[in-house]
Amino acid sequence: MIPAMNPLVLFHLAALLLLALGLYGITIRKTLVGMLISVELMLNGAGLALVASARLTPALDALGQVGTLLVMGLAAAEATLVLAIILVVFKRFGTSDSAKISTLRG
Amino acid sequence: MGEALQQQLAYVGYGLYLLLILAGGLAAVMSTSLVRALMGLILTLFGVAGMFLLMNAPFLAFMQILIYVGAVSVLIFFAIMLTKTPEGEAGAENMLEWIGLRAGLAVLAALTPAIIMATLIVKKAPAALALKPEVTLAQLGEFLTGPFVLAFELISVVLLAAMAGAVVLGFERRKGK
Amino acid sequence: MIIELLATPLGHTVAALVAILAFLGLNGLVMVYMERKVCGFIQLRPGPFEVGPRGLLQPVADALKLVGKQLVTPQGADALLFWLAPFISFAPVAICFLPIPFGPIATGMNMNLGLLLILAFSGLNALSLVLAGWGSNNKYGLLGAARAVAQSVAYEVPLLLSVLAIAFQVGSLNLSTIVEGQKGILSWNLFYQPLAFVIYFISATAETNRAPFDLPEAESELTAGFHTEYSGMGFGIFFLAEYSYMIVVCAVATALFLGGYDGPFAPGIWWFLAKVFFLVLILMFFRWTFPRVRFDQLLNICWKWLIPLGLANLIATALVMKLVQ
Repeated sequence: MIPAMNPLVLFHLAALLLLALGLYGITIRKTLVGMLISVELMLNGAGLALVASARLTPALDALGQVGTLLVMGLAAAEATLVLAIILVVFKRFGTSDSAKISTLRG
Repeated sequence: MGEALQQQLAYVGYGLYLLLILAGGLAAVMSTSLVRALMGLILTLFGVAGMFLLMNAPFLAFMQILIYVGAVSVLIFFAIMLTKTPEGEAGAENMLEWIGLRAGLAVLAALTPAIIMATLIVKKAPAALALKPEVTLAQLGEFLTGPFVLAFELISVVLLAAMAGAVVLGFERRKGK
Repeated sequence: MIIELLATPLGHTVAALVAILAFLGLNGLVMVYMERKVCGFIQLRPGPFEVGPRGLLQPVADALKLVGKQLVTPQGADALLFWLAPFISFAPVAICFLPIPFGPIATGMNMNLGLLLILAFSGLNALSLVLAGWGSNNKYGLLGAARAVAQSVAYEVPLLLSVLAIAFQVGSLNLSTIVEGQKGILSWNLFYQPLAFVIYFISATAETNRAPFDLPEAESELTAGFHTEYSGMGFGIFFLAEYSYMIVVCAVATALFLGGYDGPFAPGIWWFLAKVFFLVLILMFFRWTFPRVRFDQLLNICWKWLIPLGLANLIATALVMKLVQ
């Protein structure tokens, strides 16, 4: 067995899985909304790691939870703005494919 | 219920939620149709909410469902619907380009930090404490209006700015344009 | 052995879930009958009369008809999402019943954050509308879904604000605590927070897509909106989910404002059910009394009237709480 598989390590590995999936998604996705979905995955991973660290170490408990609440609120605000920007880009270029929304040639 | 049984059930619960997160995440990053990717994201969000419940943080679990699944997912759905391209399904990705350099680079991008951090986490993890008593809502409230009052006020400013920004970005003038 | 298994929290929750599902099934039948009789009564006609004595077996006939119909998936629709939508519509509603205190000891799960659970899982309603509209591959369905989601998301805010006023006053989100603080008719929260009750009830009507806010299912406008393409049992599950959601919303109103299971001589589950069905009757009266509102009127009512009033109510409650202490 891997040494030191305590709950803290388990939760951190789950958060790391979310981060890895999000990174893969944001690199491979071509549409802007697909990239946003991957960013949301990463933010969730961060929130999970924060709460796990706060609950299972001598750190202040409420600090981690309030921090994660703020992360959730910020993620919501950021999703709103990113989606508004996506809509504006779509209106301008007619497509949401990230390879085609460019006015540079070549 | 004996302690050992509860411990076992906790591990089973962890495994279940990890499976939800994995399945949802894979659907979210690999699915061709964007609506299925959104469903994958929602499955992942439920998995993370379950993990919060496992850590005895029910307030965070319910807020996760309320904010993310209830609001952000619906927002993303509207964006998918409104950025529908005439050719093909909304936001369908071109599958032929998956094979090749792009996929290889993506896997590299994902695995490099994952492997580095996984070794660090497993080798140098501090000892985990036994689960502390649940942080009550009253304590969180006192925390937010006490030491963290500036953060609390600032996030309301951020949300207001986001709303105003979104309205300005989406605003269409009635005459002209 | 069964009794001690039931005594554990897990066994208790499982038994509660089974009881809730049975209640919802029965409730569907009762409410279908009630709705058609009330409709007939308001429109000065007898309502269902043929099947069984005074039409009592009409819901059974309806259920048999729904079960017997062919399940059709529209061509070009995403079959997985199409059939997932009714289940996502029904499952959260069943969970929402867990923290509701039906009687002094008859609560599924007595949790400190019961009200938050109900609010969180009610938000999932919007998601199922989205899936139904998208999965139908039908522009009427999609339009109905978009309207329904806009309505649902907009009216969550006054719902939250009115519930928050009660939470301020009582100091807890635990429904059992809120009900226990309302012994005796004069201490019902209805008399302390009448504005909150009105705002809550209007928002609840809009959240459950009941007339006069039933644009998403407007039979005369969008050919049944987001559930246009569902036949037979798919429609049946949406139907059942809507009626169950009505019960959830009225049950929460009873617990928060009308004293829950409190009553003159014998507090218990019968008083709770009586109050819940009284509120459901009022909801049904609404449907056949008021004309349907237009979409912009709908959003105007929410943003220009209910939200400012809700906020004012909240501030007033906070002020009074501070001054009284």
